Amino acid sequence: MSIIEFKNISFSYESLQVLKDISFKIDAGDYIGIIGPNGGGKTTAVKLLLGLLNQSSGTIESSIAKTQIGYVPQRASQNLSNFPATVDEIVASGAKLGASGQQIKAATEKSLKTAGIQKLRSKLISRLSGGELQKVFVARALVSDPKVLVLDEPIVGIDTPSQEKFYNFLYKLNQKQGITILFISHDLDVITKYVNKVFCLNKTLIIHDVDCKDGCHGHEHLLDSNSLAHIYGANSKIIHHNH
Amino acid sequence: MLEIFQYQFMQRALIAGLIIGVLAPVIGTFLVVRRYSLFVDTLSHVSLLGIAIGLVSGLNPYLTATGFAVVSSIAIEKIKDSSKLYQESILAMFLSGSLAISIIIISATEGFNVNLFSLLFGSITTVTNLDLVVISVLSSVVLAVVIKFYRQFFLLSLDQDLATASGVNAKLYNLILVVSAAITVSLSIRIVGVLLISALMVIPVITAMQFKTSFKNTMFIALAVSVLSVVVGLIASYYLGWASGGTIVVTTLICFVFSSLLQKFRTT
Repeated sequence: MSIIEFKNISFSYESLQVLKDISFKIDAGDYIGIIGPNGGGKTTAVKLLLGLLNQSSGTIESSIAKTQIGYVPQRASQNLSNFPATVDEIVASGAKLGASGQQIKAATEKSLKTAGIQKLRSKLISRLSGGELQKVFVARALVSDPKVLVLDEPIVGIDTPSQEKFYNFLYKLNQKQGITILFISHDLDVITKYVNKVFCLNKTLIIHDVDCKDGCHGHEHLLDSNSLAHIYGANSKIIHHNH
Repeated sequence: MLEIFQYQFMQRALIAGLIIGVLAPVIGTFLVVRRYSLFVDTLSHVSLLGIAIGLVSGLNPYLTATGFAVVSSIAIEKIKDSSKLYQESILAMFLSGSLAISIIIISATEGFNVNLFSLLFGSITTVTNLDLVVISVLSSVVLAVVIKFYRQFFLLSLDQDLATASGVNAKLYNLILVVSAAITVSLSIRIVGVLLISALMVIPVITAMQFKTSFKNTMFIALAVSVLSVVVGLIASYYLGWASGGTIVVTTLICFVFSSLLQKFRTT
């Protein structure tokens, strides 16, 4: 069932067109990866989805409220190196506005547990590793009990083993809790490993749907030469090999 | 009771100092973590212009200062939202522009120099009963606003996009925050003067940040440093015969140096 639909969306920053006539549907339970070059419109599409920007033309239809979309911003870890706050405070800040102190406390507790970061709760965010901090921001987004989780390049600055753990964590959220996930990444390995839809975005959009009957792991053949050419503007040949 | 607090003017000075000592770092915390400290300096210079116009026109200079600070804070936010100018450039424009006009008014006005020193560097001991009422009422309003909208201000300080995505009307709450800051700045003029206001709103906060603790604790430590500095500065200035505003600010600086050294010793 479609919960969000972009219909013929275009967006321009003054004279610079960033998105041109893109249309897509997000279904409940989707795990969507967005890939594309820098300046291809990935973050813009996410900001339109969150209501942080208004489209130049087209319509966005949604059956869920904006506040039911949890958001993990780009490079959250890099902008907050001196911000004086504990994990508890950051996670609690995601609770619905107007919630009582007791509701915030209960939601924070639940979210810390889901993210497996109870032990970090009293730590200052400036003392966390990149991977830990990203989990904190996911926990923050989960506090409001979202239907959709949107992550803008969540693994920037995180070492490879932590990236793997982080995406496994997101995969479990998607599979076990049914949270629809949409994330931006430059990492084709990750994209092809976990998702059931890929949005290849470079001003215009190519969508790849993946049949998830046998689970969503191992879609090494998901991206073809056409989509890579669309994303990176260069001809390529895909050579498959066995590890 | 200490001898100095037997005098009514010193009692009023202490009460006014304590109120501002609480208010300034509370608002200052939200501004410092957003790297918006220059905003305080800008508003203090705008307040000077308000005072100059108040003195020339015969209106209450502290009310005109508050009015100018509030209107300018709204104008700064509007320009920031609607233009491509850098935030610092907008602040610098308001800061030097208001200072320039103030200097022209001050230089063109006879008999104005008498008040100038106290305006620039504070005159806490001249706080009247009416001042005390104005400071108490406006400070209570600002503190009530902070308590009511604490979560919104915290989110805006953390990340504006995150705040908007969480349902916070960023423009509205930014405006409420800067207007609160403007009122705080104009109320602080009596205590530390135009040129030293930013010290009371910024130094206690960066002192507290040395302790590397939670946001709420940072705010409470800043508040403690600020109140301590007001009390110690006021007493020291009385016995040493120094300017009260300067002495209060120097006390905050001593607290900052002390906390920095303490943190260095703890980490080595």
